[in-house]
Amino acid sequence: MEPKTILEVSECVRGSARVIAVGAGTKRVLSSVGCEGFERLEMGGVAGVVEYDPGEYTITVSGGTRVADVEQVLAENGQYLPFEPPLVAAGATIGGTVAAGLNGAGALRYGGVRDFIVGATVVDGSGAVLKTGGKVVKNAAGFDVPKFLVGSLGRFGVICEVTFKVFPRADVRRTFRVRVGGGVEAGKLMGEVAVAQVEADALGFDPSRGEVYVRFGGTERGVAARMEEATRRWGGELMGGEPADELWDGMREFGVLGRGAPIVKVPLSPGLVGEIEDRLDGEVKRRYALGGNVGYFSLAGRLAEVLEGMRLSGVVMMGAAEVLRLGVWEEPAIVGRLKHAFDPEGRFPSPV
Amino acid sequence: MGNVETDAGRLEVLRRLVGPGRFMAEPVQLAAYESDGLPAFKVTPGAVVAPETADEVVAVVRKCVEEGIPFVARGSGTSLSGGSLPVKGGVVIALNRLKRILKVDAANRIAVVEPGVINTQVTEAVAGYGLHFAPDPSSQTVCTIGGNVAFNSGGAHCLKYGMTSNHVLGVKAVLATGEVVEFGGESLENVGADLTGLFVGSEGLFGIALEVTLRLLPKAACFHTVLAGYKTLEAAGDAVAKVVASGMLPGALEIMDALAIEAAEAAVKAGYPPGVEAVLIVELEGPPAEVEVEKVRLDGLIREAGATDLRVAANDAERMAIWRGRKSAFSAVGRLSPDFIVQDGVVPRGRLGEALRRISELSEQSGIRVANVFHAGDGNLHPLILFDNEVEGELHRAEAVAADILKMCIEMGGSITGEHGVGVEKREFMPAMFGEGEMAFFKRIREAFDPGEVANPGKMFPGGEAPSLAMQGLHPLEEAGVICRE
Repeated sequence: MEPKTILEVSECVRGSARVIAVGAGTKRVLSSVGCEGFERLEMGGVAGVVEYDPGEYTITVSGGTRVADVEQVLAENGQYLPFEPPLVAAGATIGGTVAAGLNGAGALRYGGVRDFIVGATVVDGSGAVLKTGGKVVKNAAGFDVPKFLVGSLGRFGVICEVTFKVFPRADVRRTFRVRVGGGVEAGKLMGEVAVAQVEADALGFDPSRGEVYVRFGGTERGVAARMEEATRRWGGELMGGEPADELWDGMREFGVLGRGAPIVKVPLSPGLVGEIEDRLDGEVKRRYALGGNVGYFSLAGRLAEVLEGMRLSGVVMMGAAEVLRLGVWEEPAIVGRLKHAFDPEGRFPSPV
Repeated sequence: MGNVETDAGRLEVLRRLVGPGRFMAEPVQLAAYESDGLPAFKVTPGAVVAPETADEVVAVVRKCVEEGIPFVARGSGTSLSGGSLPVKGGVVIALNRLKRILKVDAANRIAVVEPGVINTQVTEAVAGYGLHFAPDPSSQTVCTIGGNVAFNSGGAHCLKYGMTSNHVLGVKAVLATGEVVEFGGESLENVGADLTGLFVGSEGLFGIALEVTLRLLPKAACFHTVLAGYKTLEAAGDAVAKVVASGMLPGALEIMDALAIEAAEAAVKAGYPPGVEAVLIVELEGPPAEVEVEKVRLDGLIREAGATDLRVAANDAERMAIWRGRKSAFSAVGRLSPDFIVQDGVVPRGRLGEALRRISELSEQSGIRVANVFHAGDGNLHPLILFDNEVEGELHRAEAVAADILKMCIEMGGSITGEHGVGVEKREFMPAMFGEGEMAFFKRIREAFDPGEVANPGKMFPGGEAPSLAMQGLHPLEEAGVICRE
C-alpha cells in the first residue's frame, strides 16, 4: 500500500485487517519482529513540507518526508532540529524517526525528539484522522499525544504529519577529544563536562579507541573561549573540522558499530558506564552518547546477560533479530488499555 | 461520573487510611480548599485527606476507585484554571506532606522528589552542585512539582528550555485504575512509547504522581538582562521579531503594556521607565564568552527598534529588580481593580501585534480595561481583564471579552492555553480547538486511565456539573449559553 495523502492512509488502514506503517526501512527490524502477516503501509509518498515560517520556530512536515529534506529546508533558513535525527544519509523518514524514538548526539543540550515535537496528526486503528497537540511552540491543551507517539513503533497509530519546534543553527561547531583509560574514567569525565557551565552540545565515548568526544556549538569567539576553558580543565586536543565531521556523521549513521549487525539501544546513566564496560566482553561492539545517557551495542557476546544482570532495558533498532526487547522491561497494564483506546480492533501489531 | 450525593458517611472509609488528624470534614477545615487560583469559583468538598506517605496515597486512591468516590489531588492550589477545584461532596487529597527530596544525583543531573516539594526548593537543593531546575512559573515559590507535572507548567524560559514535561524523565504514579506504575526512569533516553510524556499535563485525570524524576541543567554561567522602554507596543513587538530573526535564542523575552506597568509600579515599585507604552525584558544566558558576543548584537537590535529607555542589569540585584515587576504582574493588577480575570492564550508569534490590536479593540468596545503581559518569544499572551464585580454587568462583559480572546487565539491557529491548562475555566472551549473525533479520542485515553471517572472529574472535558460560583445569580457564561448546570 502506497498512499499519497492522509486520507489515503486512513482508507488503507480501514481497508486492512493487519497493517504496519513503514518509512525508508533504515530500521527494518522494527516493522518485522512481531509483524508477521501484517501488510506494509509505505509512507514514503506522504511527504513534503506542509507549513514553515522560520519566524515561528516551527515546521510542519508530512510523516514520510526524508529527514535529509527537512534538514535542508531548515538549513537554508539558518535553522535545524537540535536532536539531530540519525540515519539521515541512509534515507530515514521523519515519521520513522518519531516512531522509533531515536535521538542523535545533539539531544544532550536541548533535548530529544520528544522535546521538539509539538503536534502530530495520527491515523488511529479505526482509521480516524486525529490532530493532536498544536502548531505553536507553547500549548497546554489536551493530552500530550505527540510525546506518547515518540517510541511507539507504529503500534498505536500511523504518524501522518508532525510539527516540530526548531532552533537557530549555531554559527560554528568544534570538537575536542580526550584519551581515557576505560569506562569508569569516561563516565566520570562525561559527568563533569555535562554539569559544567561551558554547556557542551554533544558528548560521546568510544571504548574501542579509548576516547571521549566533546562538541561545542555557538559563535566563533564563544566556542573558542569555551574550548580553551574545557581543554585547560580536562586536557585533550582539538579535532580538525573534517575529522570531527566524519566522527559525528559516522555516529549518526551508526558506522562505528558496523552495518548489518543487530544494534541495541540501551538507556543509561553516566554513572553506569563504568560498570557496564567492566561486565561486557570484547565481542560486543559499542559506543556511548548523550554523555552516557545512552549506549548502542551490537547484539553479541554476553550483552543480553549483562542487561538482565544490571536490570537495564534494551531495544533492537537495526539488523536482523528475533526479538526487539532485551534485558528487563516493565509491563504495566495501562499499556494494553491504551492500545485498546488507540486501536480497539488490533489493526496494528501488539505493543513491544 | 454522574452526580455524587453528598454523603459524609461514604467518605468515612478514608479516615482510617491516613494518620490521626489527617482526615478533615469540618466545614471550617474544608473552607481553605474550596477555591484555588481561580477565585471566581468555590466548591465545598466532602472531606480533605492529607496523606504522609506514598503508600497512604495509593491506599486512598484505591479506596476511592473501589467506592466510586471522586477525588482531586491538590498541591498548593495555585492553578489559574481551576484545576484543583474540589468536586462537590468528593474528597480532596492534599499532597503537601509528601515533600521529601528523595535523591539528588548531581553527576547524573537528576533529582527524584515527592509531589509536594515546592518548585524553587528543587533548585535550592541542587544549586550547590552548579545545577538548577529550569521550569519557572511565576508562582514557583509556592507551587508544587506535582502541580507542575499535572499542568505541564511553563514560565518565562519556555522558548529556550521548554516546559515542565521537557524536564521530567520519569514518574511513579498511582493510576485511577489502582495500578501503581513507573514510567520512564533516570535516563534522558527511553524505550517504548513515552508514557511519562503522556502523563505530564494530564491535569490530574490519570492518577496521582508519587515520585517524580527531574532533569537538571547546569546553572547558566552568566546573564545579560535588559529592560527596554518603547513608545508603542508595535515597536516592542518589532524588537522581538528582530531578535528572533537574528538567530539568537534568548532565555527570556517578555513584554508588559502600560496598564501592566502601572500595576507593577503600584505593587512593588518596579522602577520601570515612566511614560512608556511597553517594556521589553530580554535575558541572554549561557557561557560568558557567548553572551559577550550576543549582547552586542542584541543591544543593537533593541535600539534599532526604537527603544526610548534602555537599562542593563550590572549585577544580580539589578537583574532581580528588573524581573520583580514582571513576576508580580498578576497579583499587582489587584491594586488597579477589585476583580480581574487572568487569561492564557497562544497565537503564532508573528501575529502578536495583530492580537494585541484586537484585544485593544475589544477593550474599547466593551469598556473593560485589559492589561497585557506576555511571553513574547513564544506567542503566549496573558491578558489581565479588569472589572468591578460591584458594578452591574461588568463581570458579564469581562467574561465576554475573555471568551472573545480565546476564540481569536483559536482562529489564529494558536491555543486556548499556553501553560495554565484547561481545568474548569476553559473546558467549554476544547471542542472549538479540537474536533469531535479528537475529543472522543481524548475521552478514550482518559477512560483507559480512569474507567470510573473518579480522578478530577469535571475538568478538561466540557459538560458535567458546573462548579458553584462565588457570586450571586446566574453566571454570565451560563446566560451566554457557554456553560450550563445539569
